[in-house]
Amino acid sequence: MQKKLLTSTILLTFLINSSKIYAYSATVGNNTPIDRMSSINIPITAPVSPIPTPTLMDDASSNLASPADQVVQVQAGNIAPFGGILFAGEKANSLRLKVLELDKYKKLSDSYSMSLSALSSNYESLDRKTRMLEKQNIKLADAVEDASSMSVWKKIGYFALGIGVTVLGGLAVKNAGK
Amino acid sequence: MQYILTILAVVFGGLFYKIKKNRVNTAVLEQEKMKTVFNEIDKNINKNKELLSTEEQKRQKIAEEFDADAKKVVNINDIVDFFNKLK
Repeated sequence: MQKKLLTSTILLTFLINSSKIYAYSATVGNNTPIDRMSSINIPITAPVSPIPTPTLMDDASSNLASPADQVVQVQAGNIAPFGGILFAGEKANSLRLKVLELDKYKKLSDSYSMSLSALSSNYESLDRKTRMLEKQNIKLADAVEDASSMSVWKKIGYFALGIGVTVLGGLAVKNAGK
Repeated sequence: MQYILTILAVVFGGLFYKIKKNRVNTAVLEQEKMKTVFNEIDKNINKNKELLSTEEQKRQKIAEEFDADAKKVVNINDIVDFFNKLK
């Protein structure tokens, strides 16, 4: 049981000034009992070590200024190297999933914003096209009306032209008779 | 007089022809201009449609990636690693 407890313990410490999660400090002493750890059901593949020293992760985060800037894995009975928050592995995983979910929603939100701007641009283009076609339609309708019926000025003009042609014709006939 | 009548007929005929031709030319020019604008609009619409389709695929990929992450079996080292890489 003790071994099981040891293998299923994780300490996640977030610095108050660097983490997104702010909480009260807690320290784990040598003989601090941790009952909640028995509920962990995620597979733990970290090696079990009886040495009571916290394991600092030595990869990407190793260039950080202080160990307190890191998330550290400890086992039951270890002395915590600094004050922080202790999470069970299961809880830490659910927190990880929450962070991933938030990240997903942010990405989705950005994508939807992009789609929305593309759609509104399309709407504006189609609106412009419709307005142009409407204008053209009105122009064509006017042209058809113009072609099918004469305006008052046109009628007056043709009438005057008729009078002129008749008078000139009469004069021509008269002159020809002389 | 006949000369005058002939000249008048030619002048009026030419005038009508000119007016008619101008109207047709203007209409053709307007039509060409509209075609150009419509082509630009259609190009823009197609580009936006492509963007919409890309974004749709991107969203699907995001959802799939998240599902894969949620289903992935992780160990403590992975979790510690994840939080250490978190900015």
